[in-house]
Amino acid sequence: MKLNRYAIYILVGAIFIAIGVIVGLTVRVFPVAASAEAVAVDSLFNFMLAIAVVIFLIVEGGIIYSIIRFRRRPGDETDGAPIHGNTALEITWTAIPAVIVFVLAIYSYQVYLTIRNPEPKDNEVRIGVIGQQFAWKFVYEMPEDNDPNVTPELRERIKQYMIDSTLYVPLNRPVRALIESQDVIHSFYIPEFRIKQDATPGRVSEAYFTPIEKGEWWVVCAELCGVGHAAMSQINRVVVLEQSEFDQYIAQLYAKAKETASDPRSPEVGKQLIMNKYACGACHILDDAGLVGNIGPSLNGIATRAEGHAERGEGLVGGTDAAAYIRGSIVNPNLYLVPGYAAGIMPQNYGNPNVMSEDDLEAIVNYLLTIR
Amino acid sequence: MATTVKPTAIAVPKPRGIAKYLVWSIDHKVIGIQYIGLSFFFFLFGGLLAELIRIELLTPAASLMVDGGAYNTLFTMHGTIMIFLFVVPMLAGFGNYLVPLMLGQKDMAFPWLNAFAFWMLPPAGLIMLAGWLVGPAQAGWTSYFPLSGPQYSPLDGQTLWAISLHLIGASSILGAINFIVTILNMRPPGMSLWQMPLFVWATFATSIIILVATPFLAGGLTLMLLDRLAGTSFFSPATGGDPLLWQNVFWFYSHPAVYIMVLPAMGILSEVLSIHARKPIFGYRFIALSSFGIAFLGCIVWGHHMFTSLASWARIPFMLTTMLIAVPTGVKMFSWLGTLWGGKIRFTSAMLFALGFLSMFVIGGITGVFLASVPVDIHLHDTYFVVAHFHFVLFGGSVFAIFAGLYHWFPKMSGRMLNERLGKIHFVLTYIGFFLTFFPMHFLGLEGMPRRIYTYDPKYEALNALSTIGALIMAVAIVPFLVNLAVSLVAGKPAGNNPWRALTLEWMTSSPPPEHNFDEPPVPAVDPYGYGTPEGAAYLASGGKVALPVSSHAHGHADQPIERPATGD
Repeated sequence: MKLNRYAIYILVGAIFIAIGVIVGLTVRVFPVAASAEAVAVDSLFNFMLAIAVVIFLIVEGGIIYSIIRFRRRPGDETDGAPIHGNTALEITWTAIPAVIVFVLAIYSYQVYLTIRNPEPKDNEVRIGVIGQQFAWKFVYEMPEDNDPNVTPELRERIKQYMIDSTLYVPLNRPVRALIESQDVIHSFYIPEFRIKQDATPGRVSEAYFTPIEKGEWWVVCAELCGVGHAAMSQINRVVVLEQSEFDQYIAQLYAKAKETASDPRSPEVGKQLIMNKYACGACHILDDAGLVGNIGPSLNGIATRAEGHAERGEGLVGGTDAAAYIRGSIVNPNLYLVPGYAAGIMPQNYGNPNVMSEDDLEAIVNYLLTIR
Repeated sequence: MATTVKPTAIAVPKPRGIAKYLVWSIDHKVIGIQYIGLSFFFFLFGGLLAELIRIELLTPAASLMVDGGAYNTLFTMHGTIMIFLFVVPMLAGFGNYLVPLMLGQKDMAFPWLNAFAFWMLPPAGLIMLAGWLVGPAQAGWTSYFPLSGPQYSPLDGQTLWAISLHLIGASSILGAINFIVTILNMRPPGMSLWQMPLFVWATFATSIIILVATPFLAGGLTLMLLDRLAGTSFFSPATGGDPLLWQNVFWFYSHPAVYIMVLPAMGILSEVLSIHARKPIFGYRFIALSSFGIAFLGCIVWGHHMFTSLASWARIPFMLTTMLIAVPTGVKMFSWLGTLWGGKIRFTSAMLFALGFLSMFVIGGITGVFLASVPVDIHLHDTYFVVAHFHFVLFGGSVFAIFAGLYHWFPKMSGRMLNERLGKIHFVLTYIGFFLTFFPMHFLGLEGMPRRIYTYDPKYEALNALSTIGALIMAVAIVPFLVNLAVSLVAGKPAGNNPWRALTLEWMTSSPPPEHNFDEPPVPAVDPYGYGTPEGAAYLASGGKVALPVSSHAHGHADQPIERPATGD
């Protein structure tokens, strides 16, 4: 009789463990694993899932068995058996979870060591990631340039334009993202890579990943960052390229940056800045540049409206003309608020030359003056 | 010649009926019901906000909300109200009502302080709601800096939010002091610490957490108010502050706060399961002590809320402490299963909600271990997986226990039984609605859907729609409960002293108890969970007058009888 009971326990336990193992080996609940780190994380998750399923089955099975087997039968007014405990059993169910937890902690620690990589690697690509309300932007390292005309100063200037709104990364090469924020906390998150790291203002944080699948996905913001937080998860893409395509992209970006640096205040430069470096499309509509944001006022026809504001003397900075209104709207957006839009939503720090240089500001003003 | 001045007796009519609960009273039973009533109002209000959230999320595009700010307000207020104005005060209400009764006392140690602590809450609630008049808080219930700072949250609602939480925190601390003093000093003769009901143990452990952790909330809020109002810069990086300082201080309170919301719920569960299964609680000491294990560990795990912002090396120790919490929590789960095992389970509404807790809380516990693992959490942090996890803990856990407690003690509080049929409808709808709302969120999170967004990638639509349907079912589920409350208060079956034939002292007096609780000092049962023992039966038969000494037969463990320590203080 007693042997029978234990035999049943062992049999049920074996069935539960078998179910756990099958679930752990077969269930795939994640999006595609597009980085080497994702593969390691997924294995860890599925290992935990197998154990979780067994524990889940034991507890839920115990509950269901109890409510069927130990339900009060009609007419039975007696109490249950006066069993107050069983020390051996209680020690067992304290000890076994403790062992499981230590195993999980050790395995997790090992996976963490492989995905964290604090030491720089020889072949790694370093990419700057900057969060702002409400978009990401990505800063690329400059390639070598043997052109004798490029002075160190010019190179410094070119460097400011090595920036894009799309994250391009090469296949099978480790990428180190150096993450900063210009305003509030954002969180740099690519679900397909299983990486996430907060962009905390005032410090540079790191994330590390090695893309192993070609493809294109969203770069998500996972930390609440204000009214445009939802939009920020559907603005920027990450694109995995072959090494040769990546080199080509960097060369193109560099050539464009070089061109921009030679005429930094031209309307064409302004258009590029609006689209990429300052990610104005996160909040504004502008058909000419393909911007589709819906948080701030539309920029279509801005030059015409700016003339009206200039005549009425509204929100002007550095002059009394239409350009002064546009400049004012950028560096001090609360000076004049378009009816229906609240103060404090547009970034307040574009008046700071470290955030938006004088050249960039004028290029954007010059471009917007062409939007009639 | 002594002249005696007779105190002038001014005939102040004593408020009766509902009016009694609307005015100052130092009767712990009145105060307990005041807590429960106030927090139940906020439960309904916070639930309404949740329904609006779910309706917005039915489709990927914006539908209800004019902009992200309106949505940010919704979840900020939903989270804040549910935590600080519903679960915490609701459980404090149970504590206030039950602890003195369970200890056979007339009242709490400091009745006036008790009333004072309660009366800080209505103004705190009004201040919180007043946010809507001046521009409500929008930075989430976590209110991370710099988003909650003066530059990015210029509206005054954020300031009112902090002031309101300050009041609630102070109220909570005063209540905790009162509980600790009452429990340590006011046990009746014949009740050692090891004979206290487990709800009292849980309240004791909770009060210690409140006393340790809540001052940190107060400190953090003070710094926040200084940053917002006095131009200081504790948390603003632009002027030398550190936003991570806020996260550390905030979570040093707010993680233990989870246990402030869960431990008393577990205490309720221990009472309800044992009584309605008609079987002694299994492993009394393990359950009592595991509360302290959870309380201790709960204070050293806050860093797991910061796995994506904390320094890399600091993440590992927090992973270990967080995972360890699964051990004492597991002890409780298995002990409750052991309590059911071999019982004579009565499927009362209270028991159904308790079983609902058991079957759902285990999911929240298991997902907690996933989130404790740093590499897994890096993917799941701030996604809907986290939303699923904490709703399985706080709704699947605390709210189910609160309903179990309401069905269990309503007869004591009102003198009337709740209708069982309506109770069962309420349970079934709540259970289905809850599962449907929150279970799909696990998969949304695993897919990578972040929290706190009101427009989302259309690939998440199907699961979100399921979740919204579940939320609407829960909204319907509350109707039978409200009807039940209203009807049963007037026309419910009279409860009698002890409708559940329970052994704890709150049942050894009339329902509702007289103002002084007990007509004569009650004699506690030697074993408060001695169901199925001759001593328990004799104690019940005598109406709580005769407590027989313990025979080793009844109190030994099933296989090997062990000595019970001498009773008495």
